[in-house]
Amino acid sequence: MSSDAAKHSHPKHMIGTPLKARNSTPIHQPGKRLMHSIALRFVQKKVGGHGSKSVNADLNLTSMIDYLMIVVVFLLSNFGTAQQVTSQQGLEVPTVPHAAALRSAPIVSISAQTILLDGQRIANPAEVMASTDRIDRLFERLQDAKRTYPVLHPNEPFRGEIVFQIDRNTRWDLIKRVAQTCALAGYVALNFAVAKGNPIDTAAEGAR
Amino acid sequence: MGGVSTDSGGKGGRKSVDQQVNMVPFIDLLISLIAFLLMTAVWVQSGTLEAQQPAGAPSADSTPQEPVEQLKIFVRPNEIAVGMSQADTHNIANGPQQWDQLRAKLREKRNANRQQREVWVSPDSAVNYNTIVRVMDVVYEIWAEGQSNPDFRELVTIRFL
Repeated sequence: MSSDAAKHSHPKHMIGTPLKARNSTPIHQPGKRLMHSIALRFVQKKVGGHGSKSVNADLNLTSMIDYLMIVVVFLLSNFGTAQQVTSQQGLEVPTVPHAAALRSAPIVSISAQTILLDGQRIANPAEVMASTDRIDRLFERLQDAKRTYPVLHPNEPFRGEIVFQIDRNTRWDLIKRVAQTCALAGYVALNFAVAKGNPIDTAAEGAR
Repeated sequence: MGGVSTDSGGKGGRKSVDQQVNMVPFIDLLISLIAFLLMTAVWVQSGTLEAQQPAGAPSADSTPQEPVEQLKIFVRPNEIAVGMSQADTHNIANGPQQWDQLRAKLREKRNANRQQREVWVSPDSAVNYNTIVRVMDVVYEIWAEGQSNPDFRELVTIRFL
């Protein structure tokens, strides 16, 4: 660099020097000075805080974990030991607000299509209604269940309990036929399975 | 992300005591647990209404012998009749007020004789099951009045005629 050029780029006196020429002076425009030595411009922008917003987002996990814990506690409290009667397709039990707890007993399901004992088909409702005799298959199965009761429940006396899971639109005469066969087999305590809740009033019920 | 630090210093060039607990498996476990519990949850509460029937029930064609001096409810297709005897019977016709009327009548009978522990129900053949269950439910409701945690089986016995 020639002495003339050096003299021009580093003027001795700032006063009277045009503003454009002051860039080369030790006095600089105010602003951030850190990271200016980094050669790559995009790196300089990134680390110096002048770049675009970071794409990494921090989620606050505390509230999410709190929420998950509350849901888990609620579901665990509902998990309980509530017994459930498995329902066959198309069978809708009545809903009433007052009901006692379910007891373990053979389950007779009665719907318009079929009559089941513990999930196994016993009879056809049309055949039962056509006959005046007891339902033989049901009677035999219940007799077997009565015989095995002392083995399965050695400390409990036989109380003749049976659970009836019946569709809400079934007529009483069909239920009565099945109940009579149960009574002949020694099952006299009928437990009618219901869903707990507010009863549903339907037009069919009103007409009965 | 996905970590929880317990900030407790680390100045002066010493090794930092900050700990990063990896929360990702914990959250995975919680979500799996929620999915399992949701699938196995019992949303419909089941219960039973108990009724007794005579052992060795008579045939469907025979006329049952009615008990004397017991509260009886006759459920018919167009009405419900409540009473201790034929002369005492009160008929409640079908309608929007029938359940309230049945409640009032049963409450009256119950208050007249607090020792009454048996109710006999005699449904007609054409009556549907839902109506019979509603009648049994009203009986349970009236006999459980004033009880904080009632055991329905102890309070009243429903028998079928």
